[in-house]
Amino acid sequence: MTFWLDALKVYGKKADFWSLYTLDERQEELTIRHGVEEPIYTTRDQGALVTVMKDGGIGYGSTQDLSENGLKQAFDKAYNWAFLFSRHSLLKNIEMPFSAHQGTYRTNKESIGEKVALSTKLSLLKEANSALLADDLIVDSSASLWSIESLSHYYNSLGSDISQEIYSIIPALSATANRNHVTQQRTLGGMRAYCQQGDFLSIVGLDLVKCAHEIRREAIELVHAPNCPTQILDVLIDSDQMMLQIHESIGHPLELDRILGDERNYAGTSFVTLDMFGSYQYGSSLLNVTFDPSIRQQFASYGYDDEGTPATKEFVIKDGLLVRPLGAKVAQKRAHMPGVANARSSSWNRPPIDRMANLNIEPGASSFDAMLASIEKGIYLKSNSSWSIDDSRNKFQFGCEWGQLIENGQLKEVVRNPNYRGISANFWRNLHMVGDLKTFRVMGTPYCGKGEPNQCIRVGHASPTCLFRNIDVFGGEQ
Amino acid sequence: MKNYFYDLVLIIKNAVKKEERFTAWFEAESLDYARFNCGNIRQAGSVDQQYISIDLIAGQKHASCKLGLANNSALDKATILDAIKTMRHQIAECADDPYLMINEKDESSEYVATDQLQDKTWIVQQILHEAQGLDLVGCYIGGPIYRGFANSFGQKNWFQKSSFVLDSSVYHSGDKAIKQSYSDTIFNIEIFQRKIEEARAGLRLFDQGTKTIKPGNYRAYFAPSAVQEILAMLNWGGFSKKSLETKSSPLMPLYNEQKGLSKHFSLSENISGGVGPNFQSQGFLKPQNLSLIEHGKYKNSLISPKTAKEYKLDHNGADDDEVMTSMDMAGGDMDEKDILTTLNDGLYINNLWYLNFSDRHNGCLTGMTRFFCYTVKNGQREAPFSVMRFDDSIYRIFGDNLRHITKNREMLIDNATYDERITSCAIVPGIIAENVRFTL
Repeated sequence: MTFWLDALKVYGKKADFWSLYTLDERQEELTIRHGVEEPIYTTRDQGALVTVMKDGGIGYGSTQDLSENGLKQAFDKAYNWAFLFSRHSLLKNIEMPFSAHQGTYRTNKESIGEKVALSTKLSLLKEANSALLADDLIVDSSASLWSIESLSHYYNSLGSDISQEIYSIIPALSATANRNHVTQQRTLGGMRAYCQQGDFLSIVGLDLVKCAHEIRREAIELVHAPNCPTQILDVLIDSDQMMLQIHESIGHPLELDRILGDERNYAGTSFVTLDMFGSYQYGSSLLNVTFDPSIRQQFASYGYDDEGTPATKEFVIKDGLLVRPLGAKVAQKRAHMPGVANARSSSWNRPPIDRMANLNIEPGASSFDAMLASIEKGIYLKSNSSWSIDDSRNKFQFGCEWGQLIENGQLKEVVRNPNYRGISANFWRNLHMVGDLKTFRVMGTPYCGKGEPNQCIRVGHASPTCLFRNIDVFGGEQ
Repeated sequence: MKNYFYDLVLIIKNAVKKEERFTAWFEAESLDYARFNCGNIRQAGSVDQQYISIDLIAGQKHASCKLGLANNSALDKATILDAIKTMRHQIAECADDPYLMINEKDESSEYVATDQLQDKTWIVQQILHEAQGLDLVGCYIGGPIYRGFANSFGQKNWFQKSSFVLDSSVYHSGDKAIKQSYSDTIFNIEIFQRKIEEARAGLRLFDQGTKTIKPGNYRAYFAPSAVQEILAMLNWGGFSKKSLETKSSPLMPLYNEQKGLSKHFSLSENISGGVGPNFQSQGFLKPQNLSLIEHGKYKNSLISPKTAKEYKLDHNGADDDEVMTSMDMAGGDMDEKDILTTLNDGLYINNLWYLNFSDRHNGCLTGMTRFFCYTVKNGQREAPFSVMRFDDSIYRIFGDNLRHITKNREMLIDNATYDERITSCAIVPGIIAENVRFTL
């Protein structure tokens, strides 16, 4: 490591600034699909991203050749981009955004146990898969475990020296049931929502086998269930769907690079504008949203972002008021406002951009029973199955795997294909009750897409169950 | 790069034991990118990446790994040998794979396109020069893509091509923009200048302000890029044999002949007209052309070797994900010059965005209009309209409500770059459909 640094320290002098981000990532995927063990799949990826600033221009060079020569070549490519196009750089008139920090971060040590034998993991998955497929109506099923070890280092010409070790585990279960011409799928929380930092031991408490039995029962219940009715209803949303709701209609619109227009050609713009921070009532006064990298088991916790900025918990919406964007140092300098440490790259081969990391709704004061009791006519929704929102992140339509009607404070009939739609700017103002800590769950997704070139990144969302009034609910094709 | 890959194959070949077999899949690219915002550069960089995926096989057991490579023989040899050792341990602990299928026929092939792509610096300079005074946003990506396959039976396949994609939008204000895509193997400045001129002319149409339309049913023209978005949803499990066997395909009602599509709607996987390799990651060759929907009827599905083994069928060279990579929708008889008059009163939709299923098993999908979409009255362009959500069924849009298909078709190169550049494309026409449901 020192070898690289010494070489770059000398070689990098012609730049106004340089940084070196290295990533060494190993992954393992184990799957049992419908009674058959799939081949074990592993990956190993190592690479480096060199960032150079020169005369206000910024350039990047990515390589898997971590020799001195490889890094020098990556530096030269980054330098040439920065130097040749500095006149056209969007950053040419901003102050130096980067600074020097030293430190380390490691996924909570208590959740990292001894290496668990492959046979132990496979045996659990086999048992879970057996539970999933134990009914003739189940036509497909899958139980899997995906684990990731990421070791990264960040250095820069200002003296930064940061090391981070992040271990993640992503369990997934799914059962597809079919009866006549009706097919329904039930999964563990939707899109791998139980992803978290830790290892095999961290998910023991989840009891995957018990979850598998429940998923199978619910999939079968859904193929017998009627279609969700079309009605204006109160909607009680479980944490595993709140996750998606936060992600699409709070997270993305608050990304500062979107607000500044960088993503208008691909991921989109935002209905939020710079002048709204500090004055715009985003939701009801019950809405408190934080950027929180400090929940140690949450999927996107870290000590520093990928530009070396220390990460701290910050409110982005406080008592319903919009207070702070999700923007890292570069965007903060461009917008002249404070943000958060969220410059993140999907890997060594992509430059950091403003991303969500952990974006959470803080727990409120209402118990699940109290929220349920307050509903005269409503629906309880769980586990995302469909997501669509406009490019300004306003008009949305989301679908869930599971719906259960509520009448006079009681959970009633299960319905299939529940969907709901709304407009972000109005939806959060209909937030009527926020669940307490007992309803609060820490979740996330490995699949957040954004950026050109494209980047798929891991994000965390924790939320209590929440109640919204008067939402447009409907089902599938009759 | 080809010799480098074949050197790696030799390392694997020498490392495997007599009773073992292997397949190797190689993906590499040198990528130059420049992101634009406000007609300037936000980020620009270069990426060199090489990956090899090895499947080590012993009897009916096997394990797979994907390895990043340094393009340095000594380092890469160590990485590969270490991975083979790990896979041997894994194989010892894993069960037989009843769906394992290996290509034992030697189907070697080679495709190397002449690299004509100009220097990245020159191209980016041209873009910046032509975009002066415009709020241009988007990304240039360019460079060579390499794909290779080899196995222990001596089969070798190679694909190599340099190309670029400039995916960009020129903004008027707010979310109003003209979206364009320009892709080729050589950057032709005259074509780009013409596109910029078209964008400038398009922007003037926003000057009159935008109209808000009410939810309801509208006659609509979907331009090729919008049609491609809808077809991409069908490609999400629609033609996968595994999805059909597990009753998960959105085309189940068509497959079961419960529902039909218009007799004018035909779709195929046209590898010969595509931009990617004709071999898949396990070394099986893809047919030149495979009809999937013919005159509104389900004709074929995409069957991977694994699915074929599972359901005791013949495969047709599909990858494990069983999706189209060279989508080809048949054209119709509507001339491009007649689109507005044929539409007469309705919505002209250039771009759709963020589609998803609202009822997957019945082929219902939802999505948003985006960029430059406008109302048409009495065969004349009227006014751009604010973004609208649609929620309708493919059985209506491509079925009873399909009215016209354009003669002309556009070749749309997939510009996705998650992890790596994608070698997919679509050749699609525009369509006019009646009573399209707009909901929000």
